[in-house]
Order: sequence, then structure tokens, then C-alpha cells
Amino acid sequence: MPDFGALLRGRPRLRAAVLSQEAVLLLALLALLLVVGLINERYVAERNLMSIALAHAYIAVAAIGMSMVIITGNIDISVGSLIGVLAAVCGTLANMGLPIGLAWLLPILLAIVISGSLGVLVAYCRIPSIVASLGYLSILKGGLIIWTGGAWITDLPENFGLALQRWGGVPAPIWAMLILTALAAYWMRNSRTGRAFYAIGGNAEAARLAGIPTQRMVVLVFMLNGLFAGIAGILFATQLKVIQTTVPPYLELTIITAAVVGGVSILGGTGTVIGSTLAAVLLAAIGSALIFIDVSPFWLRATYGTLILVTVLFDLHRRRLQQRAS
Amino acid sequence: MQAAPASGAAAAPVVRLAEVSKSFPGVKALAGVSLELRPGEVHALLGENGAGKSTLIKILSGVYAPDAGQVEIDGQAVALQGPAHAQRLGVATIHQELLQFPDLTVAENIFLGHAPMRRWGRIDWETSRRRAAELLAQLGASDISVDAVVGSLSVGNRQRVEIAKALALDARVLVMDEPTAALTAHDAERLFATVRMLCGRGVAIAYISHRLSEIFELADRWPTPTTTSW
Ligand SMILES: Nc1ncnc2c1ncn2[C@@H]1O[C@H](COP(=O)(O)OP(=O)(O)OP(=O)(O)O)[C@@H](O)[C@H]1O
Ligand SMILES: [Mg+2]
Repeated sequence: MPDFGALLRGRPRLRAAVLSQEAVLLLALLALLLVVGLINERYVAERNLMSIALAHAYIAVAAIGMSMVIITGNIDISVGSLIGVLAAVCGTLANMGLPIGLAWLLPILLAIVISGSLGVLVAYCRIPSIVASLGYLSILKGGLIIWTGGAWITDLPENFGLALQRWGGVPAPIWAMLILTALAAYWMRNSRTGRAFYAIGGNAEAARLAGIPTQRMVVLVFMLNGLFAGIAGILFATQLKVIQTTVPPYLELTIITAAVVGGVSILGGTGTVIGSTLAAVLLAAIGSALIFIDVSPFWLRATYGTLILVTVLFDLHRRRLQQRAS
Repeated sequence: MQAAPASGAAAAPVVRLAEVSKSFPGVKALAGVSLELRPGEVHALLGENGAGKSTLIKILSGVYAPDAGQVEIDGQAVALQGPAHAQRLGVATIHQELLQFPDLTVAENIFLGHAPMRRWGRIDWETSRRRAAELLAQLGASDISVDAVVGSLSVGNRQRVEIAKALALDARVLVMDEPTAALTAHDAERLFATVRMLCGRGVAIAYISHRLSEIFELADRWPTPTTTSW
């Protein structure tokens, strides 16, 4: 174990750079590519790298909103079901003959409304977010099955496949992931509202006393979560020529895993969306690596679980060092 | 201690609480309490645990609205709309529980909620850091790095950050709720020096403590049966 204590006593900026979760994730990703690439060089072929990034681009987009929610000290476990519902809505609207732009846009607005209402329950009715979103999870998941009967949506219009488009040779979802991550990271770092999210998660009472309208901010963060879940839902819906109207298993857990492994403290108050995006890509890279080194994919979930525990232990350790430094 | 306000004509109070009452379910926390704070004076508030001291200052800082009675600032009756409103009127409060953001930096803690801005709604970090350093220097606390996260500071230093926060608001009234409770003797001495310095600048200070020795060291006024009900 390197002497983190010594680092902590050093210059704060250097310390931040060395210990940042983003740096750790980037190193982990590079190490994985190197090691597995040495075992099987097709793993690091451009084609596979692209498919790794593509596989979790929509997860990364949803994890941006999830990270914001967790930073305020809340959580949303209904987001996977929401994405499933949005995909079905998107396909249904497109098959009704709506202009394709509207078929993409309306589900995003719907997501903002649904998540915003969840935010109202959390902020004003004071239902803990894990409970409120558990309710939404069941309602959305059950509602989807009642509505569609589990039938797939097929015969989608020619121009439906937003996620199948490529710009400059790069698939649209990867563009979305990169651009949205950069914008969200800049906004979280430099805007009053972004900083208010960190303040609320760090100490809600102090945030209120500093004059931050905490209830409105919580509604807002859930609306943003809806926005990103909505975009993720559209990317998810338009990646194939059919839409399966069941909620993908573990979807919300993968999104939350990306946020937590990305360094967003489950206690609120810290983390960045750059971290969550790097983690989303790392999770996809691990999935792909298991295939290339011929390990049963059943190990995937166990690997994710281990990563979560390691990250949280690391975070606690870091906090303890910080306490001791004072 | 700084000189008492010009003899005879004491400066007009910046803050006046008149016959303020506040109840919580099952508890009468305050019953008809009055208080005046004048520029350049330290006003001590004494009282046993549960006497209602914190409740009184939370009314003054806009956290609670009184059930009865009146809050006047500069001779005007005001209905405080919340903590931000009280801050805008020049009342800064250091609450009993240090209310800070442990994961955010010193500079950000000092300016949270009223950070200097650049165009397009972006926080001006450079100005924040520079002004935070200036404020800390005024408190003789230049040893605190503006980039350190507050969670890594000692209690004494955290309190200096809280005072810098009050200075950043350009407060005319500073309310301190048991500020020495968790301090070492040395840190408490430094705090007293700061309180005197602010006093000399004409800030009105309300100082809550259990410790009589502190009160005698600092205060110009302390409650008598005519000014409070304790
Ligand atoms: N938010 C609240 N809800 C209910 N009761 C409260 C609340 N705040 C204070 N009280 C009660 O009001 C009374 C006065 O409390 P307060 O905190 O003002 O006392 P204090 O003088 O500051 O005491 P201490 O010296 O322990 O800080 C106590 O009986 C307390 O239990
Ligand atoms: Mg108290």
C-alpha cells in the first residue's frame, strides 16, 4: 500500500490528482486493456474497443443523471424500468406515424415529468428516495407488462434507428456519451446549481441555512435524472430494429454500479460524472474481457459486486485518512 | 475590551428582539424574551441547557419564525423569510453545530450560496480563492489553505472558516452559539482576539456560552432580569 498519508499532507491539488477516482479508473482501464490485450490481441482491436464503448454508452448517459441524484444524497432505483417504458413509448409513437423527431423527443419529456414527480414525493412529501423509487419501479415495470403484454414492437419506420447512425465514423451513442459527460461535468463543477447539489448531499441542513432552496433543488435533480434517463432510453430503444418491451434485467443496478464505482459517494456530497462515465466503460470492458479470456459471463455480476465493495472500502479508507490528517 | 459606545448616547441598536416567544410541540422554548444588539458591543447570552438560547438565535437568523413578538433590524420590524434573508440584512450566524460541507474546499465553504460569478452563470473560482485568502489573512489564519477540504481541518480551523464566512457576508451582526464548546484553550484565546477585533470594527456580537469566565472576559452587556426571562 503506498503511503497515502504522506500524500494527504502534501499539496492539495497534487493530492487530488493522484488520489482522484478518475485517475484510478483510467489506470484500471488501461491496465485491463494491456493485460487482456497481451493475452488476446483482438481484444484491443479498434472494432472491439468501439463495441465496448458502444455497449455501455447509454448506461453512461443514464449514470450521469444517477450520479447527480446520488450526489444530493438520494437514489433512484426505478431508472431501469423507466428506460424500459420509454423505449416502448418511443416505438409506439414512431409506429403511430408521428414525425420521427417527435417520437424521440416526447419520451424524453415524459421521463422528465415522471422523474420530476418522484422528486416531488422525495422533497415535499419526505418519502426516502429509495422507498419512493421502489414504488415507481414496481408501477413502471408492472404497467409496462400490462400495457404491452410483453409483445415486441416491430415494423419500426426506416429512419427510426437514431443509435445506429454514425457521425465521422463514430456511433451516435458514443458521441452522446462524450458530449453529455463533458457538458455535465463542466456544469456540475462551475454552476451554482451544480455546487448546490454537492452542498445538499454534503450537509442538507447547512445547505438550507446557506439559503439554498433544497426542496426545489431535489425536484430539479430528479428532473435532470429524467432528462438523462430519457436520452438513454431513446439510445436504448433505437439500437435495434425491434424493441423488447420487457425491462432489461439489472439495468438500474448497472447504472448505479457505474455511478458508485465512478467515485460518487453513496453518502452524497462527492463524485463526478467523468468518473461515472469512465466506470461505465470499464464495466463494459470487463464484460468483453471475460469473453476474450474465456471466462464464464456468469462471473460478470460477481466482478461488478466486488468492484463496488472495493470502491466503497477505498472511499471509507480515504475519509478516515482525511480525519486523521486533521 | 474596546471602549464603550460614546458616553450617554449609546449607539442605536442594530437588532432588537421584542417579547419573542416560540413553542415546539410540548415545549415552550422561549417566553417573551427581549434582546438588543448594538454596534461594537458584545452581548452575552447565558442560560442552562435547554433554556432556549439556540432557539432565540435561530429566530434572529431566520431559521424559525417567532410565534409572538417582533424582530427589528435598524429600527424596522421585519418578518424574516429565511436564513438567506437574514444574511442579506447583515446578520451572520455561527451555529452551535458547525454547519459545513466537509467534502468541499475552504474557499467554497466560505462563499457557498453567494459565490462571485463570471459570465454565463459560471462561478469565478479565482476570485473566490483570492478573497477567501484575504479574509483568512484578516483573521490571522493564513496558515489555512483555501484549497484544503474542510473535513481535513482541525475544529479550531473549521471555526475560523466559519468566521471568514461571516466576514464574507460583510455582516453587521455576528451571532455565535457556544463557539468555544469544542475548542482547546489556545484556540479559544485566538477566538476571543478575533471577537474583539470584530467588535472594534463596529460589528454587533451576540455571544452564547455556558462559561461565565468567558462572558466576563468578553461581554459589554449581559442579560439582567429586565432584559431576559432567564
Ligand atoms: N426543533 C425543535 N423541535 C422541538 N423541540 C425543540 C427544537 N429545538 C429546540 N427544542 C426544545 O426547546 C428547548 C430549548 O432548546 P434550545 O436548543 O434553544 O436550548 P439551548 O439553550 O440552546 O440549550 P443548550 O445549552 O443545550 O444548547 C429545549 O427543551 C429543546 O428540547
Ligand atoms: Mg444551544
